[in-house]
Amino acid sequence: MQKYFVGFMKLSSYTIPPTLALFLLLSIWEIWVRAANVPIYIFPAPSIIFTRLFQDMGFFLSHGMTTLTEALLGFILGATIAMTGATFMAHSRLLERSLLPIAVMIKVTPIVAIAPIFVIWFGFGSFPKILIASLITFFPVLVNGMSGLRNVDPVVLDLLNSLNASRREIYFKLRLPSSMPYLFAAFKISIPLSVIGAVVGEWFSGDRGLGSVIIVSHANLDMPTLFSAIFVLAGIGVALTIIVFYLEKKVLRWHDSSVIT
Amino acid sequence: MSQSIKATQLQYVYDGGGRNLTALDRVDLDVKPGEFVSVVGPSGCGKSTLLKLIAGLLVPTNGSVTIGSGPPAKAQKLKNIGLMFQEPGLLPWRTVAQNITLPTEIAPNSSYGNQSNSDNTPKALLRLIGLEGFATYYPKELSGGMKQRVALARALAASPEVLLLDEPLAALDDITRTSMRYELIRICEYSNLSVVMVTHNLREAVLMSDKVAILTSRPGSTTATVTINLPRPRIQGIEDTLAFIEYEQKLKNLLSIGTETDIK
Amino acid sequence: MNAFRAVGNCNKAKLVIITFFSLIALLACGVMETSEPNNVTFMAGYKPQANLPFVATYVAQEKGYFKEHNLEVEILHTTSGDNIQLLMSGDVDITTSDATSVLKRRSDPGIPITAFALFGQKGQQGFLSLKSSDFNSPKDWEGKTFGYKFSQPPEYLAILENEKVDRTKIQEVRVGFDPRVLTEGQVDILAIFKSNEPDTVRNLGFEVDLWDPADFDVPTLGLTYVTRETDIESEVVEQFLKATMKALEFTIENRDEAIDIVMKYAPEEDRDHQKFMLNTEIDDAQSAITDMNGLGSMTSNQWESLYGHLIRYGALPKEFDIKSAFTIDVLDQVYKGNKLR
Repeated sequence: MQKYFVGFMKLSSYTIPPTLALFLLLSIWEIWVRAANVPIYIFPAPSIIFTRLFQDMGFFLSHGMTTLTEALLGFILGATIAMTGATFMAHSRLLERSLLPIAVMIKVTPIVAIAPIFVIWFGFGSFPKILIASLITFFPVLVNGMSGLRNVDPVVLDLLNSLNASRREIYFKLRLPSSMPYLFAAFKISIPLSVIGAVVGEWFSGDRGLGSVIIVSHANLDMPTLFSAIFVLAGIGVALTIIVFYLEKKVLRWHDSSVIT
Repeated sequence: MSQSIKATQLQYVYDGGGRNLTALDRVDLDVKPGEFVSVVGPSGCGKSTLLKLIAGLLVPTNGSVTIGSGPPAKAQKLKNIGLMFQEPGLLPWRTVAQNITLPTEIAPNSSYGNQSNSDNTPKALLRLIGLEGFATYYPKELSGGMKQRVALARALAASPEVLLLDEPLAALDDITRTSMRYELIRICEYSNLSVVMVTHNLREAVLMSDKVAILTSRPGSTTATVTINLPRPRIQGIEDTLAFIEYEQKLKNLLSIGTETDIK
Repeated sequence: MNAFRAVGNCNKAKLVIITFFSLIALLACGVMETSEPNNVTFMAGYKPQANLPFVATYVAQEKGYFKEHNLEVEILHTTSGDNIQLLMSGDVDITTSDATSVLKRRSDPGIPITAFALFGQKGQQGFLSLKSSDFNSPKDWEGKTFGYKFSQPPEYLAILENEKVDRTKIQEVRVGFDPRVLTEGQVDILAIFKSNEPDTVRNLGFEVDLWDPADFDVPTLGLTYVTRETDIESEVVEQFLKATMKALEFTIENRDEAIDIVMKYAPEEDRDHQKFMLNTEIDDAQSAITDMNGLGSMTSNQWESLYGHLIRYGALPKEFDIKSAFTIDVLDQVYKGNKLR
């Protein structure tokens, strides 16, 4: 019984302060908009935004699910390819020298330049958005994965080599577990980025997803809808981040320096 | 069954991209089966390099090293080498028991038939190092001394024939270090392994070894070998005997440094 | 006789003195007026290019017409569509907007903007298909894919209704702004701006069919100048319109020089494409109405037809009184008949 109480107190200490801070922020926003008589089509008050949001919950949740799905699928795709690439590149300096510059080029190319091309190649459905999300996820996971796979305890490496361990055994017993903290650091960056990638992809074509809602509502100067979509996106971002932090705590229980928030 | 270790005119040159550094130059070492040999010398004389060459982690530029009748590579495949470093090097995501069994998880090389030694059980090893009941602890919950003991148990897990120790006690505080020395003596005397231990500490060398090989500074080469004829088992109090002190002095002289026991 | 002549001389002197001081007063007034030009911030609703209302301001600026009319005009551009918001916040005084958008904004959320000059007697919207598709009429659009930029344009819906096309048989997708979705075959019919994409697509090497809503009895209007309803009667707006209408006349007579000026503002653009844009829009800017009342003119009838059309096809969220969405008053100040005052 006491364990649950302690758990509850701990959870409260994490959730109550930010909620209060957010509430305070929204209150200031509301008061300022009313006092300064800001028109609804420039900057709506939170009360109006929330009204719109709750009136049409189904609409926003449905589009939110689309964006979330695209982001997660893109993340999984990008992270898998990146991890595979990192594995090969960690074992071969030649491969690293050949492929890393290409990875950098992908990273610095702005999505807004690539997205229209994807639309032409892959159509108006979810696939180009998933692809963009995966591209954005790719680089952090690749670089951190490589670092993690290489940055192993030399003592253990020597030990395993003195036992004639195969590259495969070294990879699974030493390199892969060692890379976990690095990977989680990359995931914390990549997951929100993949959401952004999906949204940007949705700007360019299609009728599904919060990015699509944002673009169309902006064209109609329908600010309450636009801000509602943004709020939902923020909610998705926060939820995903919390999940990653929680998973990290569980998986990296053994790690001394994992930052727990 | 322990094996002999023989290094003959061993030479190792680091190829540092244009800059060659001779770490070892004509090193000879002779370890009989079951013998405990210490290698002492000033910093940078290549002691660690020597150990790595014996372990087969480096390939000699010249000369040869054998474990038993074959090269280190063969001993690797037979999992005959137990290794321990100054840092315990435990895997933080594994429990004590899982860390100890790591060597036994490595598949033996099948070209040598089913010659895998009967591995020591984790339970027996924990008892040996005095950490019964700590099997499910994680490394971050252990003290430095405890971690080194686990590293020792790990080194013994695959029932090796030789034990290679690179300054295994250097990172410990004085008190732990002293007690660990006697632990190590006890274990090595009990398991009758061939041991090569690199150390800075002359007292430690005299206490634990049957022979002490002296390596000069860079490039390292063996200048002398002193046989330590002290009775076994080595027990508390032996460090105060005259014979012990004489041996220590002798080593000091051979190293031509007349100061503290510990060479920095 | 002497007294008579004396009185005449007195009067003459008075006359000279009065004339002299009047001249000084007039001069002073003139000096005061010209020493305080009015500052105006104009924002074009898109990037620098040869849209007619933009060109009118470029030409007015370069030929000194703004200065003539005592205006100091700053010309800005936007690509993010925030010009209406900037107009309302006061950062911008005059901007452009197509007539449909004006009505939409006034309908919901009720932004108080007023259009005071019309450039496109016909709307800019059109539809494009590849010649290779071999469409003979909109009826052939059945079973095909239609692409639009934000939402299905009311002109599209109107054409479908007028031509009795079954809308359920057409697949509609939002495709963004890249016309290559048409050339690559992702869509069969694309919603476009008549002054833009047809040329772009032809330059890609494709022959096209252009579908103009006006050919299908759909009422459409093009770009307008707009300002805040509260400022519609200001002197500045009147002078601005005078200067730009003069520039518009000049543009139509001197197209090459006008293009030269456009290229100064849009050095990155393709000159031939800008020429195409300008010529297309000049064609659409002239009609029986402008012949009678001068360039930029418009009538309530035009606006009412447009309003009715938009209401019918659900393009306006709410019905409202369109009286204050546009005004002809400023045009009346600027033109007498069809001549600039």
